[in-house]
Amino acid sequence: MMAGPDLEVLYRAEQPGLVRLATLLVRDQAVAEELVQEAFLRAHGRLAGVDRPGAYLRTTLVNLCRSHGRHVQVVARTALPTPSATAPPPAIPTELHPLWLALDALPERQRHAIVLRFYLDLDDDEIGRLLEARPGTVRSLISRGLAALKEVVER
Amino acid sequence: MSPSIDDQLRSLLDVAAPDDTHVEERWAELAERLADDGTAPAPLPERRPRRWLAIAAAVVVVAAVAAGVAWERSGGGEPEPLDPSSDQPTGWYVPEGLEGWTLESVTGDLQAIERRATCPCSVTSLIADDGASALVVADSVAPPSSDIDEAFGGGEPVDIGGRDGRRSVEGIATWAWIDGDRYRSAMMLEVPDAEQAALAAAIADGADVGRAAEAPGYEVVAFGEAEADERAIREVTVTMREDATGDRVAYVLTPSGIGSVPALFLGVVPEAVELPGQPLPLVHVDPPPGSVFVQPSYAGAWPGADIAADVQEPAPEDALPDGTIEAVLGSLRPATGDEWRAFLATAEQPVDADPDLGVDRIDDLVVRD
Repeated sequence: MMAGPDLEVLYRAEQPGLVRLATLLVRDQAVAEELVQEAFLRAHGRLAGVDRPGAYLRTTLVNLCRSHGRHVQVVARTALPTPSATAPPPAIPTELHPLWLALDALPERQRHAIVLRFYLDLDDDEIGRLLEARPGTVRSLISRGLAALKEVVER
Repeated sequence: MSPSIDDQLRSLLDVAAPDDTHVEERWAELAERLADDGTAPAPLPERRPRRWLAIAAAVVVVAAVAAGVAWERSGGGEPEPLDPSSDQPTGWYVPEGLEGWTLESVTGDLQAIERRATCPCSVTSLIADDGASALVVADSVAPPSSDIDEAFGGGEPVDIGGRDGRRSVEGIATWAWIDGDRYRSAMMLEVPDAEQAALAAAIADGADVGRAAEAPGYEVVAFGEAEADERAIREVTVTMREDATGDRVAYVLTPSGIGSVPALFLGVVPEAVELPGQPLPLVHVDPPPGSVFVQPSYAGAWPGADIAADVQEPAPEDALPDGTIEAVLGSLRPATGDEWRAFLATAEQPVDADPDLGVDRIDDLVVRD
């Protein structure tokens, strides 16, 4: 079992990137940080024999983000009013706000596929592994997502 | 020449990803939790607000079901216990007589909830008698100011039976109002605009806290309530694989109160169904045309737990043959703690031991104050 300094080194190396990815997937940094904590908690006892602990953690994290998305859909659409879109983070320049809102409005799987492609530059096979979808499905998700985004941006 | 959509996306995602990930304080928290040997999730940190958790606070309902989950198939009023003979439901359900399937994995995902300020609370799901529309009514603690705008966060002022209410002006129609120290809201699916005000007023004039909401012409299909001390739950996902085809079906168990709601995931009206072989009731949602979700989705408020079929998988190209999910869900039966542990022992993949999912009742996985 990885523990002590080794885990701390791994945490300091991987946590920032994982939180950034999770923030883009779940659109809430506080939630993203919680999910990364959970990913480390779930993984820490299993990392000893893992060749690429960063990749293992990323897989765990993406699964948690997908699970979280399912849960949020439950709670957000029930009783309390939910913003129709997430407000763009302050760092995003005004000219990119329409694209942010359009990305936010995509179905979750399309949005996840696009984030994994354009933020992490992953290929179809790797995205498919993370999203438990076939490469053809990944291509379809990205294609449909991009088509929807272009429609908004080119208006 | 403007940048391509690809380039714009890369720029957008680069600047949207946060620079400060609080690595130092988060490491300190994690180290502390691991130092506790990880046998139970430590209390979740509360330094920063979590918007979705605040939403969850009012609507995620975990009923302490000593005598069965409230459920009613006809008429309004207070729900009757589904199974009065089941005095201690465990919330565990395992397949019985499901030949040719293997238990692949069982996982327990932590779902944090923050409800101190908004619970006790309840949620009622209702379907119209003609099946054409549906409601979800929530009741929670109002903000200290009793300010409807603070509770609702905008919207259009409306009169709800003489109450100062708010109505969402976009997305799914939601009406909300404050009664004393209670904040109540009704999400309406496919309810004609002209009928919404009267329906909201009827709900507002109806049942009190702790009882299922009533609405004329609607049947209660699920009801649950929660106290304020739950901090987090485990969402237990059981994945079954059909040996001959490799097809997978996952069903998700959660402490009572949540599963009744997923039927409204997709913003379409659910249908009450009875699956062959399954005596417990479920609701089913047909995904809307064009949806990436092709799999039928089922949800039910069963004794001790809510259940839902995974609605996000698989993608269209991976759609399972008709009847596959139904076969698995139809085979599920209540299990004792021992039966559940025996079932876990057959899993191909290691079952989470941190925390131990082999507890007597799913409610034992709820993290409380």
